[in-house]
Amino acid sequence: MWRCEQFKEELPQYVADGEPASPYYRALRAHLASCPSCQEELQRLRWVEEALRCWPKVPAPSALLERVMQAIVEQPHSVRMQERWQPLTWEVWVPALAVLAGLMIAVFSLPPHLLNAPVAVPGEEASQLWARDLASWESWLEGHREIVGTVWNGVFAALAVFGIGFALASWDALGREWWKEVERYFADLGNQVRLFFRRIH
Amino acid sequence: MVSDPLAELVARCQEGDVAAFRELVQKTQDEVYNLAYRVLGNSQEAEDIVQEVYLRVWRALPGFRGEARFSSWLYRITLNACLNRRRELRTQLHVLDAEEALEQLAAPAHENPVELAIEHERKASLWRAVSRLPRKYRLVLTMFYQQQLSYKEIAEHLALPLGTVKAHLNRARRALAGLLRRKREKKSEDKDVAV
Ligand SMILES: [Zn+2]
Repeated sequence: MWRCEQFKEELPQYVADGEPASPYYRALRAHLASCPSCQEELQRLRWVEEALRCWPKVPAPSALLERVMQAIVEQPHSVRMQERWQPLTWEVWVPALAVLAGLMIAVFSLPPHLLNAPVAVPGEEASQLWARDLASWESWLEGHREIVGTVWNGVFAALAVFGIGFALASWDALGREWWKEVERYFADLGNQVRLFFRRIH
Repeated sequence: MVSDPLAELVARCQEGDVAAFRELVQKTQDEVYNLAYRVLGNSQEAEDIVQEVYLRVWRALPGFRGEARFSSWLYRITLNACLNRRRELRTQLHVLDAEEALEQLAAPAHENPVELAIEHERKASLWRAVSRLPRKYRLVLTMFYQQQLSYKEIAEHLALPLGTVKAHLNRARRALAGLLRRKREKKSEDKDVAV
């Protein structure tokens, strides 16, 4: 009897595999030939297998597509924009470049003697020290107005070229078409306006 | 990189193309809905889950790098959403008796063409019986017979060993055959009493 139970454990896989003639199932086939109980189980499993093979899927209701698309379109603008710009990570590199540019401008505009530690004259107060430094820095700026202006302009121009170039390169690498992006931006904007009016109605 | 029949459409969706996404939903919604319906056993719940799944997909698409087929990725998202929802619902849903659905399973084997309809009705009873099996059986049966996934794919999706997947399937098949047997025995006992 326990051997029967063992064979019955094997039966579902045997049926599901299409009752193969492999040596693996030789003992099972020999047992089946002489065991009515296992033959009955085989018949039932064959029927179950056949019924499961033609088990129909439940199709999605026809209105579901519109419902899903409505939900997609009505997502908050900020979420959709965030998704779109994510690969460019503007949020990261724009502020980073701004900080870098600020540091560069500050360093370039500093009078050279301020890059060295200020030397305090004995008896001088801290505030007096700062006032002296500020005054000397202002007079240095006065004296080098043109150099400072050139550095400012140069840094700005380089930054603009670098920023625009970087953005275009990223855009191109992602296969984006800028007019499509602009189009979508305005479509989003229009959608937000529509939603706003619907909400206040 | 896996070759993916949906790759081109997916790429367009990643650029934020809503029309492409619509096409993608249209092409994949039946699979998603069917799985949700089989796991949750309720059309309203299934519709809610389908909407949730596609919203998640839309949000996560820019991060989809195509390491796996899109359909596998979608499948995983659907499955997770369904199982989470199922966990929430578990206490609310009442469990139906498995044998309740098997009333017609013990009908005698058909011998003439008229009984083809009866045969179909018997199969329908079996399909209904599946929906009343424990969830883990229902899930593997749906994945194997309806989504036509291989044992290996099911094992990957459910993070189970291959042997466990086969064992679940075999136990489910035996359970269905067992219900069939019990019904037939019950019918023949009734007949004996009547005689
Ligand atoms: Zn036997």
